[in-house]
Amino acid sequence: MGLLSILRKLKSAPDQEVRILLLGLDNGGKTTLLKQLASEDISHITPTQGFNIKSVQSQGFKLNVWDIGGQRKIRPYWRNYFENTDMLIYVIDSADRKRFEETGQELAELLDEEKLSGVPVLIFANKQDLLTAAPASEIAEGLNLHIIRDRMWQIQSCSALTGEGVQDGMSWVCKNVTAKKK
Amino acid sequence: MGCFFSKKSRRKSPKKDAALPTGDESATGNDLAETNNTALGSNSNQEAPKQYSWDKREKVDPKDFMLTGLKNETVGRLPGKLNGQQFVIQDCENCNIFVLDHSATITIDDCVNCRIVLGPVKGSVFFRDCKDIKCVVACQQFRTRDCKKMDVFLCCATQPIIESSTGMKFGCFQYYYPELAFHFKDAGLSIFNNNWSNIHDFTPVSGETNWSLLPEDAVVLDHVPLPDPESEFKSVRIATEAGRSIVPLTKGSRRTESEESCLFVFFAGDYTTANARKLIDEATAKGFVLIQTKEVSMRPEDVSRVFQNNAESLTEWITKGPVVALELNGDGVVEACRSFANEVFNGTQLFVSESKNTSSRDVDNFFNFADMQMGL
Repeated sequence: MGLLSILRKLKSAPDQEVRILLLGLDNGGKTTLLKQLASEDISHITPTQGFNIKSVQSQGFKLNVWDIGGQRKIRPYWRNYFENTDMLIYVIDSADRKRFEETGQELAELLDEEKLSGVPVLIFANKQDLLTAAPASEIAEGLNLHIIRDRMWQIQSCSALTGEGVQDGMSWVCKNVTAKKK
Repeated sequence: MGCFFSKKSRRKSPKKDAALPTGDESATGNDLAETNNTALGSNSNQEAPKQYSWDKREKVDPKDFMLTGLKNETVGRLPGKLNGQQFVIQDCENCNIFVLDHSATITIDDCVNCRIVLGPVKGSVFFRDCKDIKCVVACQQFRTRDCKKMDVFLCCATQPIIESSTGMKFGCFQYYYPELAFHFKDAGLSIFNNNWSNIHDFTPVSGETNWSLLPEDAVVLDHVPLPDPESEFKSVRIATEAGRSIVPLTKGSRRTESEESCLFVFFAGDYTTANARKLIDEATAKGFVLIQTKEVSMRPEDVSRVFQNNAESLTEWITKGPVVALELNGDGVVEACRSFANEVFNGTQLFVSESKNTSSRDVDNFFNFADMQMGL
Protein backbone atom coordinates (compact mmCIF):
# COMPACT_ATOMS: atom_id res chain seq x y z
CA MET A 1 0.00 0.00 0.00
CA GLY A 2 2.97 2.31 0.53
CA LEU A 3 3.59 2.81 -3.20
CA LEU A 4 -0.10 3.36 -3.89
CA SER A 5 -0.36 6.10 -1.29
CA ILE A 6 2.72 7.81 -2.70
CA LEU A 7 1.20 7.71 -6.18
CA ARG A 8 -2.08 9.08 -4.82
CA LYS A 9 -0.22 11.86 -3.09
CA LEU A 10 1.69 12.72 -6.26
CA LYS A 11 -1.50 12.74 -8.27
CA SER A 12 -3.26 15.04 -5.85
CA ALA A 13 -0.31 17.44 -5.57
CA PRO A 14 -1.41 20.54 -7.45
CA ASP A 15 0.79 21.87 -10.24
CA GLN A 16 3.16 24.60 -9.16
CA GLU A 17 1.84 27.95 -10.40
CA VAL A 18 4.14 30.17 -12.41
CA ARG A 19 3.43 33.76 -13.36
CA ILE A 20 4.77 34.59 -16.80
CA LEU A 21 4.81 38.04 -18.36
CA LEU A 22 4.65 38.14 -22.16
CA LEU A 23 5.93 41.48 -23.47
CA GLY A 24 7.27 43.02 -26.66
CA LEU A 25 6.42 45.68 -29.23
CA ASP A 26 3.02 45.78 -30.90
CA ASN A 27 2.72 43.42 -33.88
CA GLY A 28 5.47 41.15 -32.52
CA GLY A 29 3.22 38.09 -32.25
CA LYS A 30 2.57 37.90 -28.50
CA THR A 31 -1.11 37.00 -28.75
CA THR A 32 -0.47 34.46 -31.51
CA LEU A 33 2.16 32.89 -29.26
CA LEU A 34 -0.26 32.85 -26.32
CA LYS A 35 -2.97 31.19 -28.40
CA GLN A 36 -0.46 28.72 -29.82
CA LEU A 37 0.55 27.78 -26.26
CA ALA A 38 -3.10 27.26 -25.36
CA SER A 39 -3.69 25.22 -28.56
CA GLU A 40 -6.33 27.69 -29.71
CA ASP A 41 -7.30 28.78 -33.21
CA ILE A 42 -4.89 31.44 -34.48
CA SER A 43 -6.63 32.28 -37.73
CA HIS A 44 -8.40 35.31 -36.31
CA ILE A 45 -6.33 37.41 -33.94
CA THR A 46 -7.25 41.00 -33.20
CA PRO A 47 -4.64 43.52 -31.92
CA THR A 48 -4.57 43.50 -28.11
CA GLN A 49 -6.09 46.62 -26.58
CA GLY A 50 -5.54 45.68 -22.94
CA PHE A 51 -4.27 42.27 -21.96
CA ASN A 52 -5.05 38.56 -22.35
CA ILE A 53 -4.49 35.86 -19.74
CA LYS A 54 -4.32 32.12 -20.28
CA SER A 55 -3.40 29.25 -17.99
CA VAL A 56 -1.44 26.48 -19.63
CA GLN A 57 -0.39 23.14 -18.11
CA SER A 58 3.19 22.24 -18.98
CA GLN A 59 5.66 19.77 -17.49
CA GLY A 60 4.02 19.79 -14.06
CA PHE A 61 3.58 23.55 -13.97
CA LYS A 62 0.50 25.68 -14.26
CA LEU A 63 1.75 28.57 -16.35
CA ASN A 64 -0.32 31.72 -15.92
CA VAL A 65 0.66 33.75 -18.97
CA TRP A 66 -0.13 37.47 -19.10
CA ASP A 67 -0.02 38.91 -22.61
CA ILE A 68 0.03 42.72 -22.44
CA GLY A 69 -0.60 45.01 -25.42
CA GLY A 70 2.57 46.50 -26.89
CA GLN A 71 1.51 49.80 -28.46
CA ARG A 72 3.87 52.64 -27.55
CA LYS A 73 1.04 54.46 -25.80
CA ILE A 74 0.35 51.59 -23.39
CA ARG A 75 3.90 50.41 -22.67
CA PRO A 76 4.09 52.61 -19.55
CA TYR A 77 1.36 50.38 -18.09
CA TRP A 78 3.55 47.28 -18.36
CA ARG A 79 5.00 48.11 -14.94
CA ASN A 80 1.59 47.49 -13.34
CA TYR A 81 2.09 43.78 -14.07
CA PHE A 82 5.70 43.32 -12.87
CA GLU A 83 4.91 42.26 -9.29
CA ASN A 84 5.58 38.57 -8.51
CA THR A 85 6.70 37.71 -12.04
CA ASP A 86 8.55 34.39 -12.22
CA MET A 87 9.55 34.56 -15.87
CA LEU A 88 9.68 37.22 -18.56
CA ILE A 89 9.09 36.22 -22.17
CA TYR A 90 10.01 38.97 -24.60
CA VAL A 91 8.79 38.58 -28.18
CA ILE A 92 10.57 40.14 -31.14
CA ASP A 93 9.41 40.34 -34.76
CA SER A 94 12.60 39.08 -36.40
CA ALA A 95 11.48 40.37 -39.79
CA ASP A 96 10.86 43.96 -38.67
CA ARG A 97 14.44 45.20 -38.87
CA LYS A 98 13.27 48.80 -38.88
CA ARG A 99 12.28 48.44 -35.22
CA PHE A 100 15.21 46.43 -33.84
CA GLU A 101 16.52 49.56 -32.16
CA GLU A 102 13.16 50.31 -30.57
CA THR A 103 12.68 46.74 -29.36
CA GLY A 104 16.23 46.72 -27.97
CA GLN A 105 15.59 49.87 -25.98
CA GLU A 106 12.35 48.51 -24.53
CA LEU A 107 14.06 45.27 -23.51
CA ALA A 108 16.95 47.19 -21.95
CA GLU A 109 14.51 49.22 -19.87
CA LEU A 110 12.70 46.09 -18.73
CA LEU A 111 15.96 44.50 -17.61
CA ASP A 112 16.72 47.64 -15.58
CA GLU A 113 13.43 47.39 -13.69
CA GLU A 114 13.91 46.72 -10.01
CA LYS A 115 10.74 44.64 -9.78
CA LEU A 116 12.05 42.35 -12.52
CA SER A 117 15.54 42.03 -11.11
CA GLY A 118 16.85 38.48 -11.36
CA VAL A 119 13.78 37.31 -13.28
CA PRO A 120 14.88 34.88 -16.02
CA VAL A 121 14.14 36.09 -19.54
CA LEU A 122 13.33 34.09 -22.64
CA ILE A 123 13.55 36.08 -25.86
CA PHE A 124 11.54 34.62 -28.71
CA ALA A 125 12.98 35.63 -32.09
CA ASN A 126 9.56 35.21 -33.69
CA LYS A 127 8.30 35.12 -37.30
CA GLN A 128 11.12 32.90 -38.54
CA ASP A 129 8.65 31.55 -41.11
CA LEU A 130 9.19 34.81 -43.02
CA LEU A 131 12.04 34.59 -45.52
CA THR A 132 13.57 37.90 -44.47
CA ALA A 133 13.61 37.17 -40.72
CA ALA A 134 16.92 37.88 -39.00
CA PRO A 135 18.43 34.79 -37.33
CA ALA A 136 18.44 34.59 -33.53
CA SER A 137 22.24 34.91 -33.43
CA GLU A 138 22.13 38.24 -35.27
CA ILE A 139 19.43 39.54 -32.94
CA ALA A 140 21.32 38.34 -29.85
CA GLU A 141 24.42 40.15 -31.01
CA GLY A 142 22.55 43.32 -31.89
CA LEU A 143 20.83 43.35 -28.50
CA ASN A 144 24.14 42.68 -26.71
CA LEU A 145 22.52 39.81 -24.84
CA HIS A 146 25.89 38.26 -24.02
CA ILE A 147 26.65 40.99 -21.47
CA ILE A 148 23.66 40.04 -19.31
CA ARG A 149 25.15 38.81 -16.04
CA ASP A 150 22.35 39.29 -13.53
CA ARG A 151 19.85 36.65 -14.65
CA MET A 152 19.31 33.51 -16.68
CA TRP A 153 18.51 34.25 -20.31
CA GLN A 154 17.87 32.45 -23.54
CA ILE A 155 17.06 33.52 -27.08
CA GLN A 156 14.98 31.03 -29.05
CA SER A 157 14.00 31.35 -32.68
CA CYS A 158 10.40 30.40 -33.37
CA SER A 159 7.34 30.85 -35.51
CA ALA A 160 4.24 31.42 -33.41
CA LEU A 161 2.25 30.93 -36.61
CA THR A 162 3.45 27.37 -37.28
CA GLY A 163 4.36 26.57 -33.67
CA GLU A 164 7.91 25.56 -34.58
CA GLY A 165 10.42 26.37 -31.82
CA VAL A 166 7.73 27.39 -29.33
CA GLN A 167 7.82 24.22 -27.23
CA ASP A 168 11.62 24.31 -27.11
CA GLY A 169 11.40 27.77 -25.61
CA MET A 170 8.77 26.68 -23.12
CA SER A 171 10.89 23.72 -22.06
CA TRP A 172 13.62 26.20 -21.17
CA VAL A 173 11.04 28.22 -19.22
CA CYS A 174 9.97 25.18 -17.19
CA LYS A 175 13.57 24.14 -16.54
CA ASN A 176 14.69 27.56 -15.43
CA VAL A 177 11.69 28.75 -13.51
CA THR A 178 12.41 26.00 -10.98
CA ALA A 179 15.81 27.49 -10.25
CA LYS A 180 14.17 30.77 -9.29
CA LYS A 181 11.21 29.25 -7.44
CA LYS A 182 13.24 26.91 -5.23
CA MET B 1 22.55 46.26 -21.64
CA GLY B 2 23.12 48.71 -24.48
CA CYS B 3 22.38 47.18 -27.85
CA PHE B 4 24.18 47.59 -31.17
CA PHE B 5 20.83 48.37 -32.77
CA SER B 6 20.50 51.32 -30.43
CA LYS B 7 21.89 54.74 -31.28
CA LYS B 8 22.05 55.59 -27.63
CA SER B 9 22.11 52.85 -25.06
CA ARG B 10 19.99 53.56 -22.04
CA ARG B 11 21.10 50.53 -20.06
CA LYS B 12 23.59 50.74 -17.24
CA SER B 13 26.52 48.43 -17.82
CA PRO B 14 26.50 45.40 -15.52
CA LYS B 15 28.47 45.65 -12.30
CA LYS B 16 31.75 43.77 -12.55
CA ASP B 17 30.96 41.58 -9.59
CA ALA B 18 27.34 40.89 -10.52
CA ALA B 19 26.69 37.37 -9.30
CA LEU B 20 25.39 34.71 -11.62
CA PRO B 21 22.82 32.14 -10.59
CA THR B 22 24.90 29.21 -9.36
CA GLY B 23 26.14 26.75 -11.89
CA ASP B 24 25.43 28.98 -14.86
CA GLU B 25 27.59 31.04 -17.07
CA SER B 26 26.56 33.83 -19.35
CA ALA B 27 27.40 33.33 -23.00
CA THR B 28 30.19 35.67 -24.00
CA GLY B 29 30.62 37.35 -27.35
CA ASN B 30 32.99 34.56 -28.41
CA ASP B 31 30.54 31.89 -27.32
CA LEU B 32 27.93 33.51 -29.50
CA ALA B 33 29.85 32.91 -32.66
CA GLU B 34 30.05 29.20 -32.01
CA THR B 35 26.71 28.55 -30.38
CA ASN B 36 23.53 27.22 -31.88
CA ASN B 37 22.02 29.82 -34.13
CA THR B 38 18.51 29.22 -32.90
CA ALA B 39 18.88 28.99 -29.14
CA LEU B 40 21.58 30.96 -27.37
CA GLY B 41 21.60 31.58 -23.68
CA SER B 42 23.24 31.83 -20.31
CA ASN B 43 23.46 28.06 -19.80
CA SER B 44 27.02 27.08 -20.62
CA ASN B 45 26.14 23.46 -21.36
CA GLN B 46 24.41 24.09 -24.69
CA GLU B 47 22.77 21.05 -26.23
CA ALA B 48 23.52 20.04 -29.78
CA PRO B 49 22.02 22.60 -32.16
CA LYS B 50 18.50 21.73 -33.17
CA GLN B 51 17.67 22.19 -36.83
CA TYR B 52 14.51 24.09 -37.71
CA SER B 53 12.92 24.49 -41.11
CA TRP B 54 14.34 28.01 -41.45
CA ASP B 55 17.89 26.76 -40.84
CA LYS B 56 17.60 24.53 -43.90
CA ARG B 57 16.19 26.97 -46.42
CA GLU B 58 18.22 29.07 -48.80
CA LYS B 59 19.18 32.54 -47.67
CA VAL B 60 17.40 35.34 -49.51
CA ASP B 61 18.21 38.97 -50.05
CA PRO B 62 15.70 41.10 -48.11
CA LYS B 63 15.97 43.68 -50.91
CA ASP B 64 14.05 41.30 -53.18
CA PHE B 65 11.06 41.82 -50.91
CA MET B 66 11.30 45.59 -50.68
CA LEU B 67 10.55 48.80 -52.52
CA THR B 68 12.89 51.47 -51.21
CA GLY B 69 13.61 55.11 -51.93
CA LEU B 70 11.54 55.47 -55.10
CA LYS B 71 10.23 58.77 -56.50
CA ASN B 72 7.50 59.44 -59.08
CA GLU B 73 7.25 55.82 -60.18
CA THR B 74 4.56 53.22 -60.83
CA VAL B 75 5.86 50.03 -59.22
CA GLY B 76 4.80 46.92 -57.28
CA ARG B 77 4.28 43.22 -57.84
CA LEU B 78 2.13 41.38 -60.37
CA PRO B 79 -0.13 38.45 -59.40
CA GLY B 80 1.94 35.35 -58.64
CA LYS B 81 5.14 37.24 -57.84
CA LEU B 82 4.89 37.43 -54.03
CA ASN B 83 3.04 34.21 -53.33
CA GLY B 84 2.39 34.78 -49.65
CA GLN B 85 5.76 36.26 -48.71
CA GLN B 86 6.45 39.34 -46.61
CA PHE B 87 6.81 42.74 -48.30
CA VAL B 88 8.29 46.07 -47.22
CA ILE B 89 7.70 49.51 -48.74
CA GLN B 90 9.81 52.39 -47.45
CA ASP B 91 10.98 55.93 -48.22
CA CYS B 92 8.86 56.30 -51.35
CA GLU B 93 7.56 59.63 -52.59
CA ASN B 94 4.80 60.39 -55.08
CA CYS B 95 4.57 56.79 -56.26
CA ASN B 96 1.74 54.58 -57.44
CA ILE B 97 2.32 51.19 -55.85
CA PHE B 98 0.33 48.09 -56.82
CA VAL B 99 0.96 44.89 -54.86
CA LEU B 100 -1.52 42.69 -56.73
CA ASP B 101 -0.79 39.45 -54.92
CA HIS B 102 -1.40 37.88 -51.53
CA SER B 103 1.30 38.28 -48.89
CA ALA B 104 2.15 37.32 -45.30
CA THR B 105 2.60 40.80 -43.84
CA ILE B 106 3.39 44.26 -45.19
CA THR B 107 5.07 47.23 -43.52
CA ILE B 108 5.01 50.69 -45.08
CA ASP B 109 7.47 53.19 -43.59
CA ASP B 110 8.24 56.86 -44.23
CA CYS B 111 6.26 57.18 -47.44
CA VAL B 112 4.85 60.51 -48.62
CA ASN B 113 2.14 61.31 -51.16
CA CYS B 114 1.71 57.78 -52.51
CA ARG B 115 -1.20 55.80 -53.89
CA ILE B 116 -1.03 52.18 -52.77
CA VAL B 117 -3.07 49.05 -53.55
CA LEU B 118 -2.35 45.97 -51.43
CA GLY B 119 -3.79 42.58 -52.33
CA PRO B 120 -4.93 40.36 -49.42
CA VAL B 121 -2.50 40.18 -46.51
CA LYS B 122 -2.72 37.09 -44.29
CA GLY B 123 -1.40 38.96 -41.25
CA SER B 124 -0.86 42.64 -40.54
CA VAL B 125 -0.47 45.76 -42.62
CA PHE B 126 1.48 48.36 -40.64
CA PHE B 127 1.85 51.98 -41.81
CA ARG B 128 4.45 53.99 -39.88
CA ASP B 129 5.50 57.61 -40.29
CA CYS B 130 3.56 58.01 -43.52
CA LYS B 131 1.87 61.13 -44.84
CA ASP B 132 -0.66 61.89 -47.58
CA ILE B 133 -1.38 58.30 -48.51
CA LYS B 134 -4.38 57.03 -50.42
CA CYS B 135 -4.75 53.29 -50.39
CA VAL B 136 -6.85 50.19 -50.94
CA VAL B 137 -6.04 47.43 -48.44
CA ALA B 138 -7.31 43.94 -47.53
CA CYS B 139 -5.79 42.32 -44.45
CA GLN B 140 -6.33 40.49 -41.18
CA GLN B 141 -4.94 43.36 -39.08
CA PHE B 142 -4.59 47.02 -40.00
CA ARG B 143 -2.33 49.25 -37.89
CA THR B 144 -0.94 52.76 -38.20
CA ARG B 145 1.47 54.77 -36.07
CA ASP B 146 2.63 58.37 -36.51
CA CYS B 147 0.73 58.81 -39.76
CA LYS B 148 -0.94 61.92 -41.18
CA LYS B 149 -3.70 62.27 -43.74
CA MET B 150 -4.52 58.83 -45.04
CA ASP B 151 -7.56 57.79 -47.08
CA VAL B 152 -8.05 54.05 -46.72
CA PHE B 153 -10.49 51.82 -48.60
CA LEU B 154 -10.30 48.90 -46.23
CA CYS B 155 -11.28 45.28 -45.79
CA CYS B 156 -10.05 44.21 -42.36
CA ALA B 157 -10.95 40.99 -40.55
CA THR B 158 -10.28 42.54 -37.12
CA GLN B 159 -10.65 45.98 -35.57
CA PRO B 160 -8.39 48.50 -37.35
CA ILE B 161 -5.94 50.24 -35.01
CA ILE B 162 -4.49 53.74 -35.18
CA GLU B 163 -1.91 55.26 -32.84
CA SER B 164 -0.56 58.81 -32.84
CA SER B 165 -2.17 59.31 -36.24
CA THR B 166 -4.32 62.18 -37.49
CA GLY B 167 -6.50 62.97 -40.48
CA MET B 168 -7.29 59.31 -41.09
CA LYS B 169 -10.31 58.58 -43.30
CA PHE B 170 -11.80 55.15 -43.87
CA GLY B 171 -14.11 53.70 -46.49
CA CYS B 172 -15.21 50.21 -47.49
CA PHE B 173 -12.90 48.22 -49.78
CA GLN B 174 -13.95 48.47 -53.45
CA TYR B 175 -11.65 46.73 -55.90
CA TYR B 176 -11.46 43.89 -58.38
CA TYR B 177 -8.85 42.07 -60.42
CA PRO B 178 -9.32 38.54 -61.78
CA GLU B 179 -7.10 36.74 -59.24
CA LEU B 180 -8.39 38.65 -56.21
CA ALA B 181 -10.91 36.01 -55.07
CA PHE B 182 -8.16 33.36 -55.07
CA HIS B 183 -5.83 35.70 -53.22
CA PHE B 184 -8.44 36.23 -50.49
CA LYS B 185 -8.68 32.46 -50.11
CA ASP B 186 -4.90 32.01 -50.08
CA ALA B 187 -4.58 34.70 -47.41
CA GLY B 188 -7.23 32.99 -45.28
CA LEU B 189 -9.52 36.02 -45.44
CA SER B 190 -13.27 36.08 -45.95
CA ILE B 191 -14.85 38.76 -48.11
CA PHE B 192 -17.70 38.83 -45.58
CA ASN B 193 -15.59 39.68 -42.52
CA ASN B 194 -14.91 43.38 -42.82
CA ASN B 195 -14.62 45.75 -39.85
CA TRP B 196 -13.52 48.74 -41.93
CA SER B 197 -15.51 51.31 -39.94
CA ASN B 198 -14.91 49.99 -36.42
CA ILE B 199 -11.69 51.91 -35.68
CA HIS B 200 -9.85 51.81 -32.35
CA ASP B 201 -7.70 54.86 -31.59
CA PHE B 202 -5.01 54.27 -28.96
CA THR B 203 -4.32 57.99 -28.67
CA PRO B 204 -7.63 59.87 -28.73
CA VAL B 205 -7.55 63.59 -28.03
CA SER B 206 -10.64 65.02 -26.37
CA GLY B 207 -12.46 67.47 -28.58
CA GLU B 208 -10.58 66.32 -31.69
CA THR B 209 -11.18 63.52 -34.15
CA ASN B 210 -8.15 61.68 -35.44
CA TRP B 211 -10.27 59.61 -37.81
CA SER B 212 -13.53 59.77 -39.71
CA LEU B 213 -15.38 57.88 -42.42
CA LEU B 214 -15.08 58.82 -46.07
CA PRO B 215 -18.29 60.10 -47.69
CA GLU B 216 -20.67 57.30 -48.58
CA ASP B 217 -20.34 58.06 -52.27
CA ALA B 218 -16.52 58.09 -52.21
CA VAL B 219 -15.07 56.47 -55.32
CA VAL B 220 -11.73 54.66 -55.33
CA LEU B 221 -10.68 56.18 -58.66
CA ASP B 222 -10.86 59.68 -57.20
CA HIS B 223 -8.18 58.62 -54.72
CA VAL B 224 -6.19 55.82 -56.31
CA PRO B 225 -5.86 55.93 -60.10
CA LEU B 226 -5.60 52.88 -62.32
CA PRO B 227 -2.04 51.88 -63.23
CA ASP B 228 -0.33 53.89 -65.93
CA PRO B 229 -1.07 52.19 -69.31
CA GLU B 230 2.68 52.16 -69.98
CA SER B 231 3.42 50.24 -66.77
CA GLU B 232 3.90 46.51 -66.23
CA PHE B 233 0.38 46.39 -64.71
CA LYS B 234 -1.40 47.23 -67.96
CA SER B 235 -2.22 43.56 -68.51
CA VAL B 236 -4.16 43.25 -65.22
CA ARG B 237 -7.90 43.84 -65.66
CA ILE B 238 -8.70 46.09 -62.70
CA ALA B 239 -12.15 47.41 -61.83
CA THR B 240 -12.99 49.85 -59.05
CA GLU B 241 -16.77 50.21 -59.33
CA ALA B 242 -18.60 49.28 -56.13
CA GLY B 243 -20.76 46.80 -58.06
CA ARG B 244 -17.72 44.87 -59.28
CA SER B 245 -15.95 44.83 -55.91
CA ILE B 246 -15.03 41.41 -54.58
CA VAL B 247 -15.91 42.64 -51.07
CA PRO B 248 -19.56 43.62 -50.52
CA LEU B 249 -19.97 47.35 -50.00
CA THR B 250 -21.34 47.86 -46.48
CA LYS B 251 -22.61 50.91 -44.66
CA GLY B 252 -20.68 49.97 -41.54
CA SER B 253 -21.12 52.20 -38.52
CA ARG B 254 -22.69 55.05 -40.48
CA ARG B 255 -26.15 56.05 -39.25
CA THR B 256 -29.01 54.14 -40.86
CA GLU B 257 -32.06 55.87 -42.27
CA SER B 258 -34.54 53.22 -41.15
CA GLU B 259 -35.33 51.61 -37.81
CA GLU B 260 -36.01 48.30 -39.52
CA SER B 261 -33.24 45.76 -40.06
CA CYS B 262 -33.37 42.12 -41.06
CA LEU B 263 -31.03 39.19 -40.41
CA PHE B 264 -30.53 36.86 -43.37
CA VAL B 265 -28.30 33.81 -42.80
CA PHE B 266 -27.10 31.32 -45.42
CA PHE B 267 -25.92 27.97 -44.08
CA ALA B 268 -22.90 26.32 -45.68
CA GLY B 269 -23.46 24.86 -49.10
CA ASP B 270 -21.96 24.83 -52.58
CA TYR B 271 -23.33 28.23 -53.52
CA THR B 272 -23.25 30.16 -50.24
CA THR B 273 -21.10 33.02 -51.56
CA ALA B 274 -23.00 33.23 -54.84
CA ASN B 275 -26.33 33.22 -52.99
CA ALA B 276 -25.18 35.97 -50.63
CA ARG B 277 -24.08 38.08 -53.60
CA LYS B 278 -27.38 37.47 -55.34
CA LEU B 279 -29.30 38.56 -52.26
CA ILE B 280 -27.20 41.73 -51.97
CA ASP B 281 -27.87 42.57 -55.63
CA GLU B 282 -31.61 41.92 -55.28
CA ALA B 283 -31.91 43.88 -52.04
CA THR B 284 -29.84 46.90 -53.09
CA ALA B 285 -31.72 47.04 -56.41
CA LYS B 286 -34.88 47.52 -54.33
CA GLY B 287 -33.28 50.35 -52.36
CA PHE B 288 -32.32 48.44 -49.21
CA VAL B 289 -28.93 48.99 -47.60
CA LEU B 290 -26.36 46.36 -46.62
CA ILE B 291 -25.16 47.27 -43.13
CA GLN B 292 -22.75 44.46 -42.29
CA THR B 293 -21.83 40.87 -43.14
CA LYS B 294 -20.11 38.03 -41.28
CA GLU B 295 -18.82 34.56 -42.05
CA VAL B 296 -18.46 32.51 -38.89
CA SER B 297 -18.51 28.91 -37.64
CA MET B 298 -21.19 27.88 -35.16
CA ARG B 299 -21.57 25.08 -32.64
CA PRO B 300 -24.91 23.57 -31.59
CA GLU B 301 -24.91 25.58 -28.34
CA ASP B 302 -24.34 28.79 -30.34
CA VAL B 303 -27.34 28.01 -32.52
CA SER B 304 -29.69 27.75 -29.57
CA ARG B 305 -28.33 30.97 -28.09
CA VAL B 306 -28.50 32.94 -31.34
CA PHE B 307 -31.61 31.59 -33.04
CA GLN B 308 -33.53 30.68 -29.86
CA ASN B 309 -36.98 29.32 -30.87
CA ASN B 310 -35.81 28.28 -34.34
CA ALA B 311 -32.72 26.50 -33.07
CA GLU B 312 -33.88 22.91 -33.35
CA SER B 313 -34.40 22.87 -37.09
CA LEU B 314 -31.16 24.77 -37.76
CA THR B 315 -28.70 22.75 -35.68
CA GLU B 316 -28.10 20.06 -38.31
CA TRP B 317 -27.23 22.68 -40.93
CA ILE B 318 -24.18 24.11 -39.16
CA THR B 319 -22.05 20.97 -39.46
CA LYS B 320 -21.11 21.59 -43.09
CA GLY B 321 -19.12 24.76 -42.48
CA PRO B 322 -19.37 28.43 -41.58
CA VAL B 323 -22.54 30.45 -42.04
CA VAL B 324 -22.74 33.73 -43.95
CA ALA B 325 -24.95 36.37 -42.34
CA LEU B 326 -26.11 39.72 -43.67
CA GLU B 327 -27.86 42.63 -42.03
CA LEU B 328 -30.08 44.53 -44.45
CA ASN B 329 -31.81 47.78 -43.55
CA GLY B 330 -34.76 49.78 -44.83
CA ASP B 331 -38.48 50.17 -44.33
CA GLY B 332 -40.21 46.92 -45.29
CA VAL B 333 -36.93 44.99 -45.44
CA VAL B 334 -38.17 42.00 -43.40
CA GLU B 335 -41.12 41.39 -45.66
CA ALA B 336 -38.95 41.84 -48.75
CA CYS B 337 -36.32 39.41 -47.44
CA ARG B 338 -38.95 36.81 -46.66
CA SER B 339 -40.25 37.02 -50.21
CA PHE B 340 -36.67 36.77 -51.59
CA ALA B 341 -36.28 33.63 -49.48
CA ASN B 342 -39.40 32.07 -50.95
CA GLU B 343 -39.03 33.18 -54.55
CA VAL B 344 -35.28 33.38 -55.21
CA PHE B 345 -33.78 30.97 -52.67
CA ASN B 346 -36.46 28.33 -52.39
CA GLY B 347 -34.88 25.07 -51.20
CA THR B 348 -31.75 26.80 -49.88
CA GLN B 349 -30.81 26.31 -46.24
CA LEU B 350 -31.27 29.71 -44.64
CA PHE B 351 -32.71 31.74 -41.80
CA VAL B 352 -34.62 35.01 -42.19
CA SER B 353 -36.05 37.18 -39.44
CA GLU B 354 -39.71 36.30 -39.03
CA SER B 355 -41.14 39.69 -38.28
CA LYS B 356 -40.36 43.33 -37.78
CA ASN B 357 -40.84 42.86 -34.03
CA THR B 358 -38.12 40.24 -33.62
CA SER B 359 -35.71 41.27 -36.37
CA SER B 360 -33.59 43.74 -34.38
CA ARG B 361 -33.18 41.12 -31.64
CA ASP B 362 -32.08 38.60 -34.30
CA VAL B 363 -29.51 41.04 -35.64
CA ASP B 364 -28.13 41.84 -32.18
CA ASN B 365 -28.01 38.19 -31.12
CA PHE B 366 -26.16 37.07 -34.21
CA PHE B 367 -23.64 39.88 -34.60
CA ASN B 368 -22.87 40.04 -30.87
CA PHE B 369 -22.14 36.32 -30.99
CA ALA B 370 -20.02 36.68 -34.15
CA ASP B 371 -18.01 39.57 -32.71
CA MET B 372 -17.32 37.66 -29.51
CA GLN B 373 -16.33 34.61 -31.52
CA MET B 374 -13.83 36.72 -33.44
CA GLY B 375 -12.49 38.48 -30.38
CA LEU B 376 -13.83 41.89 -31.42
